[in-house]
Amino acid sequence: MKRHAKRLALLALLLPAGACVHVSRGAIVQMNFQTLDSNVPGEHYELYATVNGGAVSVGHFKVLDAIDNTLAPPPDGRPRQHCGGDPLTTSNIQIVQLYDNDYDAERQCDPGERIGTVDKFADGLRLILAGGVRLDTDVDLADADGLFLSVEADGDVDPRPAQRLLRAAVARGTDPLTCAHPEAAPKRRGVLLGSFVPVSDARECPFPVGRVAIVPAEDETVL
Amino acid sequence: MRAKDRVSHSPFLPAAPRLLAAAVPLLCLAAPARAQMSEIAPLSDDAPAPEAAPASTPPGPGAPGSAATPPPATPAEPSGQAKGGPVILEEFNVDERNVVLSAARTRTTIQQAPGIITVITAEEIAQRGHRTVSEVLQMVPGFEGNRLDSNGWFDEAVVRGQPRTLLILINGVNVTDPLRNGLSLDHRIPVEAIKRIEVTSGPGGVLWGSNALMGIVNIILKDSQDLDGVEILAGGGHGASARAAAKGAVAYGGEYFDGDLKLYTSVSYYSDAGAELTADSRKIVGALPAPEPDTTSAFILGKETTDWNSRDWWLASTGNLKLFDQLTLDWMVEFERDHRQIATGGAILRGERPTLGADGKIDSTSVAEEETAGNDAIQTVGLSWRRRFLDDKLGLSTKVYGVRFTLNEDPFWAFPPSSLPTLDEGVVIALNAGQLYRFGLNVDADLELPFDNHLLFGAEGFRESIADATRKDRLRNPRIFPDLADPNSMDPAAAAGVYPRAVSGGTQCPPPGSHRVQVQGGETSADFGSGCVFTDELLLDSTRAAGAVYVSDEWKAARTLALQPGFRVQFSDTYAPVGLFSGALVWNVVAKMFVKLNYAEGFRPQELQATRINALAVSNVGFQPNADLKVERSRSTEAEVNAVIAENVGVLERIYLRGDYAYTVLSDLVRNVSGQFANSGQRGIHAVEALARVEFTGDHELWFGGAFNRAEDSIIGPIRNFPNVTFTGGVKIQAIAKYLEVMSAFTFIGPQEDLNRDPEAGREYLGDYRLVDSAEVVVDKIDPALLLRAGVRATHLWADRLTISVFGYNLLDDRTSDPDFYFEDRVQSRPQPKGGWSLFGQAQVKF
Repeated sequence: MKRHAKRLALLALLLPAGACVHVSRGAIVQMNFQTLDSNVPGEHYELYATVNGGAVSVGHFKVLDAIDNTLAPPPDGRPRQHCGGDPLTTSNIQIVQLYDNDYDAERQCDPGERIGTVDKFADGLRLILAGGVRLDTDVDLADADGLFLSVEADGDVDPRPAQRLLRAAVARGTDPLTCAHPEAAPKRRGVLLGSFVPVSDARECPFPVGRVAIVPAEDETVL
Repeated sequence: MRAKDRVSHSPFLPAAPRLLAAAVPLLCLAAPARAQMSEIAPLSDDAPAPEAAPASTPPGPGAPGSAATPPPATPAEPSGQAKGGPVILEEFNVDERNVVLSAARTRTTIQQAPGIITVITAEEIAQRGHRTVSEVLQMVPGFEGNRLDSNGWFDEAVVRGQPRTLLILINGVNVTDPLRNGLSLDHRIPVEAIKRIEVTSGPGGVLWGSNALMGIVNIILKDSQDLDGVEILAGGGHGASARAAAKGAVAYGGEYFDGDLKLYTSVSYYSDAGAELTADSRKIVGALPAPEPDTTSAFILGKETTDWNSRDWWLASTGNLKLFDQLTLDWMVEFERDHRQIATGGAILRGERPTLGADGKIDSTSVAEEETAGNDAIQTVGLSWRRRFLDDKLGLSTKVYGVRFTLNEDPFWAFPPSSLPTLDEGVVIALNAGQLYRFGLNVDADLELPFDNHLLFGAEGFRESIADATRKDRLRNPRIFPDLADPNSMDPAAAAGVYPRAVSGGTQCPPPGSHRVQVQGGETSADFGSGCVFTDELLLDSTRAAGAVYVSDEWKAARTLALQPGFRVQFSDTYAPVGLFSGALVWNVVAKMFVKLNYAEGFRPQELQATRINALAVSNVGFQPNADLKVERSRSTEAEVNAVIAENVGVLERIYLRGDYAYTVLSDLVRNVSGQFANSGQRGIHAVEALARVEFTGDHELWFGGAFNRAEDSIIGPIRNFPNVTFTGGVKIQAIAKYLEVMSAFTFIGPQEDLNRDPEAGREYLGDYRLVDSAEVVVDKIDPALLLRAGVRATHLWADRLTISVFGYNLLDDRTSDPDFYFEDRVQSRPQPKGGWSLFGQAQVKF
């Protein structure tokens, strides 16, 4: 028995080594939207990236009014979705919540699903500006050259974008929309940068309505 | 309990004039050494026996392998003759650097132990000039010591690039803080009271249970074997990393009643005026943690150096009282106060506080220099009993222990006063973990069985509790106070009882007293003082009980081969039963060369802050607890080759070589997503480590170690905020044999990345300020650091009584930085600055 002990033991010890981890090649997408309408009932936003000439879905989210807005309809008259917070104690901000087709109303407003807010000047209590959206995706965006935001119907399973609203060209370290930046900023390490502009704005230098920085999952330092 | 309440009234004091002479204040009751000690079992019967020397012989320079198989001896025979009884480490001058207790819970050699082991002895700590346990771990391959968390709140050690995965033991007792599964390894544990530190790289859950996820650091404190008489230490130093440092320590060791009573006790005090820390820009205000909405951060460009530090201090007493070589009381009781001039989120706490001058006008030139003041002390005490039966075939060890953790941050500054709107008083809160304890009982046994089997088995039970954890804050966001509602008011806010609310001439706060408050998710109560300041419950009072049984068998399957399977099951009232397996193969390939193959598992229980934080917080940041969290698990497969070669060849005494590879999978990792704690994802860690030590005749030594880690995560991809490579090495030369020792050592920490916000990318605001939004992120490269240390030690002076040493630290003045633990940008928006050079000298005299 002792003769075989070494062989058996080696086998037993090496077997567990087989389990390996699926490694995400995803990215962090940091966005600031200066203006972005809250979704009307039955629709949500979907963020797409253009990578190697194709479009790939990066994530779905809804923009919702934090408070009950039914008594203060927006100028266009279209009702906006809301999470019904107490108007006395909750700022009138637009919250950005992850969306999935099987989310019910309660989960749609769950703070655990919150990924940020649309930019808004706070009313002096804490900061000059509140806002920022962080979307973590498992899509590899290291070679992305653009993003666009599409309006989709809830429950939609079609992978193609339905109605493009905003677009942003992105590039390594520098925002390609140079006309939006009167002073050339130094290159920023480890990120792809861009500015959201309305798809409908065909001007040579459209006015940006948001900014984006993509942080790909790359480790550029070893030694 | 106050310090004066902890003075021991030992009945032995009147009968012990030597004790009185020592005049050592005993600051509390004691604690034990729990590791079961049984004989070192040689793998090979023809392995060379080591030399054994009387206990009184000063420890010589140890050498791995030289004592691979020390002969067994009984405790009653400290001279070390082989008589077949258990080996008691303290009574031998065996090669202490090659003996380990933690790895197998029995005494064995590091060459044969079923794990990747590094042992650091008291002598080595002194030779290398280590000032803290964190500095000790800085020179262990695969470890990164002195790793800052939350801008200096914690000074932790990281193993294989994974934070808070270490089980920290003091005399075998788990002192890892259950609140956050970590422990600062700063000056709180006085290094001069440490007998040895045993470091295990890799999981060790079967034998050690909770928290042994990626490694174990067992700090074994000194006992009466280490000192016969009185030892006094005094020292001081200065430098950019520890200004105006001062240290004093007194220790006493002795035996009474023919050795039936043995006592060691020490008191150590260390103090300095903090470090000069230079931040690359001045953060003034920024986002609070999720689920609070992200916000713009405000910076002032330009470096800022902290230079308004109050003195930090640590006072610790350790001791070991042994009766009849069976009953041991051991303790470490520590008190401290430290200060931080950079807030946890990175805001430099120097700002402008608008003040009224004598003429009643605002004097905006008043400079506010604030500090967070913290007390994170730990106190541990244990009582152990140990005996052998059945002609020494059965050993039994029990230990009952208690650990008290303190986490009291008052004041805890988030942002300094500034001229930005509403920030004239800054943001300051207070955090107090209240009553946080762990009490437990361990029972360990070992039994010799037929066919070369050595069974280890045992059980443990412990209970952790937290009570009265509070947070003091100022109400900034409006809340509804139902009991303050005024239905007759025409003001809707007043009618609903909303506070704070703007009124003519300022802000109206709720009146002092206890009030009900509506918060997200329900209603709670809080005690209000003046100025909207309130205190509410930080964590819900709770207890967590756990129990475990384990068994492990060392089977000598062949003359040169040992197998060691193990199993543990751990139960708790707050998590599902955890089953853990381990298996080890140790093969004595030839002479003093060993190959080890290990499979080990570990687990980390949920942080109490993740399961018990108060969801109904009045405060601005309301984390959501998750009582359904699973424990985090580790599984590791390891291979090691070690050898002692070139013994007594020319000028060489020996060369010790070790190389290992490990692949570890962490699963069910707990992350904080949008303010809610959740299990998510896996992480795989490749680790390659090596250590070489060359010992020359004449007590000269050369060593070199290194590690390569690569960690990849199923959620966040490659782990970038910890170094992939670390190297350490050094040389020790006896310049004048026995009397003068010169050493130099280095630690190289490879480059890292840190997700931050770029102040340069922000836009100007009110002249000095730069406003930086969340899209202004940048992945900063943290440059490699080379930390150089050199020192001189004069020993055996004044008839072997006096030792004088002077060490210089970080002599290249490498002002390095640390990334944050979480690769996040909104709270810790810039790298955490670290200190520069410093010098420290001390004299140690024994009577």
